Amino acid sequence: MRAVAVVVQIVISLVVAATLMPVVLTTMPDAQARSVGPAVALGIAAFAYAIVRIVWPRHKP
Amino acid sequence: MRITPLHFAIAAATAALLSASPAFAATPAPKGIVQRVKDPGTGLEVRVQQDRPGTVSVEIGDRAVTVRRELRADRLETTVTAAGEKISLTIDKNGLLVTAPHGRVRVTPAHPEAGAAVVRLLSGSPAIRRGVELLGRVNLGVASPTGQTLLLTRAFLLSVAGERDQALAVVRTARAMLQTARIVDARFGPGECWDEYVKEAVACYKEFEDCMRGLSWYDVIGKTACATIYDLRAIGAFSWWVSCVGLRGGDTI
Repeated sequence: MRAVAVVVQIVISLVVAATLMPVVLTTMPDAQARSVGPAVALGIAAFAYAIVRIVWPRHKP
Repeated sequence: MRITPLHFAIAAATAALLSASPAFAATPAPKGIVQRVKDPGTGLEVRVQQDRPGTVSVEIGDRAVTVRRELRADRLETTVTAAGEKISLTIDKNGLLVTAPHGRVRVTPAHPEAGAAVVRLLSGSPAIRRGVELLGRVNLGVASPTGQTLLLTRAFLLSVAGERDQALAVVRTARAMLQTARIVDARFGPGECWDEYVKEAVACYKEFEDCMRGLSWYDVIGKTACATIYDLRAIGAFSWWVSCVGLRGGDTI
């Protein structure tokens, strides 16, 4: 169950990154560079994953 | 000698190569010499000439021999001139006509037995021998239609002189040259994947902006539709990029 939750959290973070990346690429053309853009995408995904982990509901023991 | 498919194949290939040359394709075509190429193999100048519309010729020569091949609408004429000896070989719809100082022979599909007379007429010809030797030193490269034309001219002269094996060897060489260019399965790497993704992502967002701009503030359904389309496109493009850079091992183009 815990593994399923992690997979769902990763998918959600990737969806967030996918949705935000076009906005970032359009408003910040520097991010379109090959050396910058992929890092930005992974950074957004990592940040989103951290947020999702924080707000993810937990069962109290 | 008989008129064999080899002769017609050589003639057809030469006609195709001459037609492919820029000189022949130019419309309207300028008259006179339209291309001069210095052959690195012989150091001689190869001239591609167009004296009148619909006619193109390729000529090479030194002090000893001159070889000229001319393509007209209805015939292909090869002329070899050496030491006062002029030999003309014309291929048209009626067959092959050979004109030499010592005689004139016509070979038609109905009378192929006259081919033996052609071989007797040309096998000992110094002009043909020098022409073949000169064309054998030409080295214009694989990509040159002019070089391929001269190569096939050499094969033609060898075949009418009775040197069938050598002619076949030259034809095989020409065929190998023509088959050198091929389409290969080219792949592109992560950098190209990213570039393609950026194009799609930027286009996706700009279309989203255009979509939203045309809607009234109360058109909730329209805005939802715009956002949904944007989400689907953005997620699809991102998935493609992730797949392209690693999961699928690259895309082919």
